[in-house]
Amino acid sequence: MAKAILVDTSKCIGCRGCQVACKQWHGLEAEPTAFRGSYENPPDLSARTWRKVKFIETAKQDGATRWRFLSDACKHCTDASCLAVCPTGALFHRPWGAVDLDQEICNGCRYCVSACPFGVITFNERTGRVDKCILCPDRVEAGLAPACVTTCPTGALSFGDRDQLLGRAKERVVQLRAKGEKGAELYGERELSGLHVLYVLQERPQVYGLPEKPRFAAASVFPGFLMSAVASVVMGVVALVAFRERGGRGEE
Amino acid sequence: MGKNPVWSWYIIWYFFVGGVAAGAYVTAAFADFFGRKEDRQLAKVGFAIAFPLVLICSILLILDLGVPGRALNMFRLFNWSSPMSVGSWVLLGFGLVSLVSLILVLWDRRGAWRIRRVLAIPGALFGLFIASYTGVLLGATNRPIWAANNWIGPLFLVSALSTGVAALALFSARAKLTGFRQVHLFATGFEALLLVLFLQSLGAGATLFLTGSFAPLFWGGVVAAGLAIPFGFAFLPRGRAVEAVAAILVLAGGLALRYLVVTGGQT
Repeated sequence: MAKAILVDTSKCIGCRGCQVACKQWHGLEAEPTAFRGSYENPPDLSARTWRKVKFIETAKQDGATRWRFLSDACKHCTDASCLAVCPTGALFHRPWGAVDLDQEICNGCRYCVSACPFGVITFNERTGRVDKCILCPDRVEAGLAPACVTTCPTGALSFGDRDQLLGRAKERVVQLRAKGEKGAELYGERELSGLHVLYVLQERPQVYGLPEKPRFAAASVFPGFLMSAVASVVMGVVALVAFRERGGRGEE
Repeated sequence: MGKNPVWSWYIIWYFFVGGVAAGAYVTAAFADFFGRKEDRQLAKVGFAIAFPLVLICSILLILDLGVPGRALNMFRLFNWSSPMSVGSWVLLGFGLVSLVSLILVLWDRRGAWRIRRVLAIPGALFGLFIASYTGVLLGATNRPIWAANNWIGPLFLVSALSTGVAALALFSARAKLTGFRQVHLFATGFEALLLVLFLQSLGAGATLFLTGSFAPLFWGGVVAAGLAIPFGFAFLPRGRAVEAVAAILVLAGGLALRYLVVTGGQT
C-alpha cells in the first residue's frame, strides 16, 4: 500500500518544527547562515537540511503582505528522475513509495543532482556522496509517522495511505474554495505518475517554486540515443564512401 | 530544475579525450575495412592511440569521484535508463577491445590484421556510443541548456570523429590522408549544421553562446578554430605544417565545445 505525506499549506504557520525534527531524527548538523532579507532560513535544501519551510511573501489586494508557507523536501516521485539516472543503484524505491538512498552504494557521481526536477538532492562535500529526505523508512517500517509529521503542531503535515490522503486533500481543496480561497489546488496526484508527497496549495505551484509540469529526466534517453544513432549512420556512410571511393581493397 | 552537479575540468577533459579516442578508433576501423594500403597504415595509429586515451579517461573519471574504490560501484548493475550506467559498461568494453587492438598493432604478424579487422566491428560500435552518449547524458537532466536537448549527442558524435581524425593527422608522417580528409571535411559541415540546430533548440538560451559571456570562446574556439579555419585550410596547398596546424585547431575547437556545453548547463 502506497504511503504519502499530505502537506496542507493552509494549516501551516511556519513554525519550522518539521525542519528541526528532521535534523534531530537524522542527526544533521546546523547550517551557518546569514540574514538575507527573509525569515526563510536556510536559503535552500542542502546535504544537511533535508526539510525546510519556505516563507513566501505575496501581496493581498490592499497591498498588505500575506505569508504563504510550504514545508518542502523530497517529493518521492513514482517516476523519480534521480533514481532513473543513478548508475549504482544507490537510489531505490521502497515498496510503499519512498525514494530511499543507500549511502554505502552512492559513489558521488552527482548525476541525480542535475536530474531532480525539484532541485532537492544535493551533493555532500564532506562525505563525497549525495543527501536528501528519505521519508524516515526506519520510523515508517516500525509503524510510526516520519519525524516531521509527528512533530507538526497544526496538522499541516499528515502521513498515511496515499489513496486516503488523496481523498482528504480533494475534500480540503473543495472546502477552501468554498471559503473563498479561489486559488486552492491539489499538487502531486498525477505529476511524474504520482508523488508520495501531496500538497494542498493556496496559490499556483510556481508561487511556491514548484514546477507546473515537472519533467522526468530519463524521458530524453531514448530520443537522444536515437538521434545519435542516426548521426552515426550518416557518418558511417560518409566514411565508407570516403575510403572506398579510392578503391584498392585487399590483403596487406 | 536540478541543482548544479559541479561537473568541472575532469568531466570536460573526459568528454573531450573520450571523443578523440572513439573518433580515432572509429575512423581507423572504416579505413582498415574499406581503405587503401596507406589508409590502413594510418588506421594502425588509430587503433594504437585509442587505448592509452581510454586509460586517461578512466583516470579522469576516478579522480572526479574523489575516492578511487567508489568507481567500482558503477559496475554493480546495468541501468538502461541511465546513460552513465550504460556508458560505464561500454567504456569498459571499449577499453578492453582497444587494448587488444593495440596489442595486435604492436604484434603485427601475418594474421593479426584479420583479427584486428573483426575486432574493429564491436570496437567501432562501442566507439560510436562513447562518442555520443555523453551528450545524451546531459540531455537526460533537468538543467538549463541540457534538459531534453537531443542535439548534444549527435553534435558530440560528429565533433568526436573530427577531433579523432585530427589526432591521427598529428601522427601521420606524410600527408596521404585523402580518405580521412574527406571524412573530416564532411564532419565539419555536418557539425556546423548540428551546431545551428542545437542553438536554435535553445531559443533565448542561445544568447549565452552567441552574445553572452561565452561568446568569445564560442566564436573564436568552436566556430573559428574548430570549424571555419580548418575548413579553409582544406583548400590550401597541402603540407605537413598546414596539416598539423589545422589538426591542433580542430582539437582546440573540440575542447572548447565540450567546455561550453558542460559549463553552459551550470551557469
